[in-house]
Amino acid sequence: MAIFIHDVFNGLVMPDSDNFLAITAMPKFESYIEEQTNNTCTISVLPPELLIEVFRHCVANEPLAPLSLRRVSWTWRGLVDSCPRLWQTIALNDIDGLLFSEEQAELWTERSKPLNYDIELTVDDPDYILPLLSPLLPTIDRWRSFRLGGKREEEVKSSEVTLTPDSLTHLHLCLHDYELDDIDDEDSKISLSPISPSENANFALNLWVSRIPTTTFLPPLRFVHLTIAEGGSIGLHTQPKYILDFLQACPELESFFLSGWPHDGPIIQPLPVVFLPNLVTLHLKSTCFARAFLSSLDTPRLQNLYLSHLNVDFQLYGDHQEEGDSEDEAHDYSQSPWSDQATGMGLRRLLKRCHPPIRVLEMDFCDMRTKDFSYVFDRLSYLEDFHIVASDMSDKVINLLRPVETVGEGAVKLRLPRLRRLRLTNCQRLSGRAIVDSIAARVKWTDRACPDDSLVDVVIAGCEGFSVMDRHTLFMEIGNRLRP
Amino acid sequence: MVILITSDNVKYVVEKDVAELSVLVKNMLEDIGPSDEPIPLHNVTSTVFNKVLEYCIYHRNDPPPSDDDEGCASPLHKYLASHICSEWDQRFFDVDQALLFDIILAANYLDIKTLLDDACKAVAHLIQGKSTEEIRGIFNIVNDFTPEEEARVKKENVSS
Repeated sequence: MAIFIHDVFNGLVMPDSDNFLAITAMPKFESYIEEQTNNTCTISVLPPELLIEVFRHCVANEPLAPLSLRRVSWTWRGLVDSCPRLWQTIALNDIDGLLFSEEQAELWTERSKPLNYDIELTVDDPDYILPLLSPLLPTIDRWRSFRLGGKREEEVKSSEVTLTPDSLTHLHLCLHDYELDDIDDEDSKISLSPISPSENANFALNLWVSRIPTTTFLPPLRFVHLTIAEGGSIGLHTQPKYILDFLQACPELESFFLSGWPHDGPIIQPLPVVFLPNLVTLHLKSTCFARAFLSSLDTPRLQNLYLSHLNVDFQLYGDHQEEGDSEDEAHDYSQSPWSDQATGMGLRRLLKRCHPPIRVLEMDFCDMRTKDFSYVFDRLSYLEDFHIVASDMSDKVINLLRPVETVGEGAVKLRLPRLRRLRLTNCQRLSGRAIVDSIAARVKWTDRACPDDSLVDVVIAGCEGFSVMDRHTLFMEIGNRLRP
Repeated sequence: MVILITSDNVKYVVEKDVAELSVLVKNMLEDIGPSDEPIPLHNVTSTVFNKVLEYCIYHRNDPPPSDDDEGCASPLHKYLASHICSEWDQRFFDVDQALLFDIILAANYLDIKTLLDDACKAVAHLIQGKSTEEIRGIFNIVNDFTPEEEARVKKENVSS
């Protein structure tokens, strides 16, 4: 039976000898109270180590407690600031949109040194995950554990992965419609994973969000590789402006891959011009906004440009009247004239803005007008590898690769002077004759004039106009450089 | 049975399993071996010890506290995983501050981890959700910051 001490003092219960027995007289409880009240006993009777124990429980209940505790007095401030354990748990949540500022992150991570710290992230809206976490990413090597609460609980322990700010190189943002997804609670909202099964040196932060995080709350992110994937036909889509704004928060990017969905509509203006000084690889896939993106990027080191599935057979939104938008004098047929123009004009703007040393250009189900090819070929003096798939380019385009004697000067103009690898795949409007004549003439001239920059690898695949006889003829001209 | 004597010379005869919730007492018992010698508790008055004893009797059959300082679980997780104070505990700690602090000191001296934790939680509960001014008021703490220093600390706290 439990004995309540006040009952003992009030004489309601006698101490049970099974439990305890007061042998001598007990002092009156009331007198004790009176005595202590007169003593003006305060919390200062607790030695520092016990006060810190109290503070630890405060912090457990109220993660931001260190801030208010250190404002009470000099003594408390000294204790709080000198105890890393009080700063060891960083609890973040999306209540009222409260965000953990960069300054606060610095305060916590500094005060918790030399200990590693735990992150308790509680969000109902996954869109807050990146803004809340981003100030802590520069110290990810000190994460002891990361726990996501809210609709779905997830946990990452530092012992499971060895993360450093330098090894967390990839960010994958996947637009996900949580309102349409009945089983979203079963899906992960965040994960950290090696960038490939065989790669344990670099890691990716994978996030499923319903909108691109706004940069208002984002400090500069140190990711060097970024992938943004839009939802499918019934999924979520976004605007070029939001993506471009987000790119501005990633100044160290070396590669960017947009895997979109070909939806069209008015574009939110104005679009920022995004300077990405280290971007080497750009891949735009399945988007109607190629012109908007390419026109808004300043990428002076871009070397690899992959444009895929940009062709659409409907008229794109917007009426552009820039230089080059006029009708193509070549009047060549195209199944996708509007996207051809958009891609071509976007690429023109990119080249005009920053003259990137593009070495690899791959156009997969992506096309341009003849005059755009001409403009682009005239300016890609570093291009080494050109691969185009499913283009309905005419013979006029392949003829651009021939060496051309400049009238009156006696010199020879060679477009794409460094081109080493050419792959034409499923280009059905090209004639075999034009292919043979152009490539043979080019190789013949470059072998003599600049053998180091001659074609070394030519692939012609799935082009109906390129017959067996054409293949034989070209093989006789360039030999094994023509791949089967 | 174990005989304990508080600092104000009150003797208690306590069952051994209850007394041994105090690591201090347990160690002393091991040191002195089988004996009827009373064990002095120099730093605890009988008034405070009554409360301590009440707690120990009530919690005598609780599982021993785990040493949770190791491992990867965060303090918050450990806290949430630990037992939530019962109604009895809440009533037990519903005492004036002076006695509460004395219980903490006694629990620390006697090395009763669960009592120390629960008592510290009770004090933390008084602080929880309070502004700096309210905390000073509750514990009668003098604000020894100059206005300039206070402004600086506030600024350091950024968006607190």
